[in-house]
Amino acid sequence: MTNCPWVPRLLPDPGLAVDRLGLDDHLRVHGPVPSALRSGEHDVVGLADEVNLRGRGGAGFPFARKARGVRTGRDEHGGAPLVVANGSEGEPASRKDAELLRRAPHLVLDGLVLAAVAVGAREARLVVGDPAARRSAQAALHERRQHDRPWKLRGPRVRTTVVAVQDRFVAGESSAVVRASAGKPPVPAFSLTRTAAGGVNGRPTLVSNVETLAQLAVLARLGVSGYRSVGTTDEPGTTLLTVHLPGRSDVVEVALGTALTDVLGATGRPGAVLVGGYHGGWLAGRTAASTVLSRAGLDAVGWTLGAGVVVALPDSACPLVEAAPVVRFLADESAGQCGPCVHGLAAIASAVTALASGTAGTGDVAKLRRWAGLVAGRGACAHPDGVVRFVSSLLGAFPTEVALHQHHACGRLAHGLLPVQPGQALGETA
Amino acid sequence: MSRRLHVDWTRCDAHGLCAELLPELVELDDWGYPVVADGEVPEPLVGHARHAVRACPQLALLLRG
Amino acid sequence: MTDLTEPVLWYVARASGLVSLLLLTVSVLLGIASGARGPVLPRFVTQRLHRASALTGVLLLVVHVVAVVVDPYVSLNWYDVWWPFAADDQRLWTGLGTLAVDLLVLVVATSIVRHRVGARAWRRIHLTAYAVYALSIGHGVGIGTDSLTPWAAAMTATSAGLALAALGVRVRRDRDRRGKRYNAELEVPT
Repeated sequence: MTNCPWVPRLLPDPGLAVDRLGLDDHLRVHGPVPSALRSGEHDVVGLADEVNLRGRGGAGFPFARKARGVRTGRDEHGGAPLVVANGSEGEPASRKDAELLRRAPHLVLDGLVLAAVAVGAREARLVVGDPAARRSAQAALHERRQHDRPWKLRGPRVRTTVVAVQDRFVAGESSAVVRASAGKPPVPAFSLTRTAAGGVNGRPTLVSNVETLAQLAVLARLGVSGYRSVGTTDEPGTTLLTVHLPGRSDVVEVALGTALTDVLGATGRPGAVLVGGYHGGWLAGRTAASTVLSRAGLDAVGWTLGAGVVVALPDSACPLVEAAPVVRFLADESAGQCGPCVHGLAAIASAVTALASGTAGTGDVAKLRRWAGLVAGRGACAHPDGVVRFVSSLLGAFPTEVALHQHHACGRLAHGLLPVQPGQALGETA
Repeated sequence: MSRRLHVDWTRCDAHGLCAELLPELVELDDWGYPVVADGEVPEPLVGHARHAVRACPQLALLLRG
Repeated sequence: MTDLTEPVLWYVARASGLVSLLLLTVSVLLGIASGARGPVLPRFVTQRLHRASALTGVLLLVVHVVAVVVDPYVSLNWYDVWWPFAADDQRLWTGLGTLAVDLLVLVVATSIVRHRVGARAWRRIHLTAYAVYALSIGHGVGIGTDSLTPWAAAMTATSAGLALAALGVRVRRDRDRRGKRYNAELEVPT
C-alpha cells in the first residue's frame, strides 16, 4: 500500500521485513508485560477505560465495561471465570485476525493473560478459524512453555487451549464462539442472561476479539499517554483493516481517524465503498471521499467500523451486481435455527438477485424494505440485522442504480469482487 | 412490576397459538412467525399472556419481568 | 352367595376400557393434527380438545382399572396395576395394559409440569404416547372378551387405522417442515 499511512503497533513494521515475531523477537520489539499489570496489582481495566478501548470484533463494545460485567457476573452468580479469544473470523472479506495471529501471536497471548487476570480467570480458550493462524498460535503457546524467563513472575498461570473452528459466518458470533470453545456446534444460542453472567457451562465468560486483546497488550506497555500518541482524542490508538482494492487486498494498520481516501490510496474519487464487512454499510463515492475511519467518523455517515473491512469497487462495477451473490451467501450462512432469519433472508436474497439482474419490478423494492423491517431483531443473533444493514445501505447509497434496475439490467457483468469464500482475494472467482 | 414477552427464536416453530390467544400483542408475519409488540405487557393482558406462554407447544414464549 | 354386583363390575370394566380407548384415539388424532397449518378450528382449540379428551380418557381409565382390581372374579391386585407381566391371569395382555398405564402416567404428569421439565425432555417423553396407544390396542385386542365381536373389531380397526394414517401424514409433513434446518455444515472439526 503505497500511500497508506501505516502505523506499526500490532503488526510488525513493514520496513522490518519480518514475517512472524517469535517469542524472542516479540520480547525484543515490545519488551515484557509490566509485572504490576501481569500480577493484577495495577488494574488493566482502568487503563482500558482511560483510552476508551473498544472491541475490534465488529460490535465495538467498550472493553472495560465488558470486563466489569464479567466481574459482576462472577461476584453475583459465582463460577470460575473464563476468557475466550475470538479469532474465528467468519467474515470472508476479513483477514486481519488471521494475519495478526500469524504474524504477532504473542501480543494476542499477552492480551489473553491480561484479560484473564482482569476477571480472575485461570483458563483461556483461543478459538481460531484460519489453519495457518491456528498453527501460529499453537506454536506460540509451545514457545512460551519452553521459554522460562518472564513467565516465572508473580501472578497465576493461565491455562490456554487453542480450539479449532470452521470459519463460517455465524460461527463468529459471541455465543456461537462460546459454544465452539466448549466443543459444541458453533451456532448462536438464545439466552436472556448475558455471557458475562453465564457463558461456557454457566461460567462468567469474557469473549473478546483477538485484535482487542492485542491492543490491550500494547496498552499495557505504552501506558495511557503512550497509547494516546496516535489516533484521535476520543478514539486513541490504531486499528487493523482488511482493504480490498481492484487487483489487491492487504491487511493494514492505521491510526483511528485516518481518512478513508488515504487508506484507499486512490488518485481519483473512489466508486462504491463498503465499510465494516458484510454486516456493514455502503457508501457512494462522494460520501467516501470525506469519510474518516473512526467510530465518530463512520457514525456521521450512518455506519460503523465493524469487522474492519474496506472494499472499494472500481467505477466500472455495478454495486448491485457485485452485492447480490453476497446477500445469497449471507442467507445460506444462516445457522438455520430461527424462522424469520431462514425465510426472511432467503426472500431478501431472491429479491436482491432479481433486482441485480433487472428482472425485479417496483413492487419488489417495496417488498424488500418490508421484509427488512420484518427480519431485523427477530432471531437468536444479530445476523439478520446485519444483513438488513448491508442491504438497506445498498439501496440507500445507490438510488440511481436501483431505479435503473427496476426496468432492466445495467448490462455490467459481475466481476466477483466481493469474496464469499474465506481467504478469497478480490477478483478471484469462487 | 414490568413484564415483557420474549420469543426464543431457536425454539419457535410457527405454530401460531400465541397469536390466537393474544392478538392484541402478537401478529403473524408472512411465514407464520410471531411479531410481538415491544414494551411491557399491559396489566389487563397479563393473564392472557400467561395463557399464551403455557399454550406454546415449543415453550418458545417467555414472560419475564 | 351370588353377588349381583359381579357382572356390573365386569360390564363397567369392559365399557370403560373401550370408551377410554376411543377417547385416547381422539386425543392421538388431535395431537397429530396440532402440527397442521390452516386449521378448521383455531389451534388453541385443537390443543384444548386434545388435552380434554386425554384427561377424560385417563379418568375412564381409572374407572377401568379400579373396576378390574375390585372385581373378585378377576385375579388382579393393586400391584399388577404398576408392575407389568406379574399377573396370575393372562399375564401378557394384562402386562401390556400395565405398561400403557405406567407410560401414560409419565406422559400426563410431564405435560402438567411441562414448563419445569423443559421442552426437549417433554417432547421425548410425549412421543411415547404412541407406544401407549399401541400397547392399549394390543391389550384390548388380546384380553378383551368382546374383541372378536364385529362391532368391537370394527371399532378397533378403524381407530388404529385412523391413527396410523394420521401419523403417516404428519411424518411426511414434518419432513418438509417450516423450512428450518440446522446448517449441517457448521460442525466443529475434530
